[in-house]
Amino acid sequence: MKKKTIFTLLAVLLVAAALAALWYFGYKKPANAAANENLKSVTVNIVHTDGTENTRTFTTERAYLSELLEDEGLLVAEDQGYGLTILSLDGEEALVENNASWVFNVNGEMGTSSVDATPLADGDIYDFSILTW
Amino acid sequence: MTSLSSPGKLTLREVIVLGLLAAMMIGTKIALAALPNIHLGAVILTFAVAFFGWKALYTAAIYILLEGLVYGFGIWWVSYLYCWPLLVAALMAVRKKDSPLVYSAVAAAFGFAFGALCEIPYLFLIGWKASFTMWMAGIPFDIVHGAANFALCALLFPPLQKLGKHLQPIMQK
Repeated sequence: MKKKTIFTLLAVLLVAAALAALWYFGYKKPANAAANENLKSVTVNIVHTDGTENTRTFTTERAYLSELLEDEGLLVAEDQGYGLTILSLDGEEALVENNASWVFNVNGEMGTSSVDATPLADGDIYDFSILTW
Repeated sequence: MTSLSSPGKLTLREVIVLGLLAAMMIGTKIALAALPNIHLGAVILTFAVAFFGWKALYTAAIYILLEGLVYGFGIWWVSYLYCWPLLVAALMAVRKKDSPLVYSAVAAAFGFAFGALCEIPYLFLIGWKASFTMWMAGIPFDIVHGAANFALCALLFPPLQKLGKHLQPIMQK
């Protein structure tokens, strides 16, 4: 192969490599970092009335607890005028008319809003249990 | 350097060949549409410049018009108005060398720079930050474009050069 051919080929490869580096460090890497900023790792612990527990950790981009639970097929709920009311969680029903309701704690403190108004934060632990009266 | 071009105005044969070259540019592009940014546009235009000189601008003009008719006259089309004539000018600058390698290098540079060149109209519409991001996002396609242009031109231009030399007696009858 002639020197000129090798030189030209190397020049083309060099430009391609420079463009690839520019794309990776200038676009792809910052874009990935921005996407990862929205990722949260949360733990959901569901305690059933028979004493069994279902504890799972999720990595999600979702903003609210109800969105995550619906994505995972755990939640059946309806809006009864005060935010979403949980009808069934992880396959177990708890209805107010039967004097039972699903309640939850966020990091050990009683939740103060409905699941659709509870924002997900990285590292949060959500403990669900049924309250009867 | 062999020329198929007659001095002065276009001859009937030149009108036919330059038009057919433009048709081949768009036809092969559509045929290779499944391969993003891999097409024979630069190779065919290189042939047109090598054998017809500045008259290759007619091929570029017809090709640009056909692109608009096939894909619609969007903002991207405005950039074609200067991108392809720019390639003709760049190829004309190295025409005297008549070297497949030099032509291939020009075609590669054109492919690498194509995304950036196409951003110029967007600069005025969406600002430099957004158009710079658009260019950055499309760099992988520019790399493919430049590398493919180089490979295809290096591979296909030498046989096209021979073909051009065979055509010379027919064209200049």
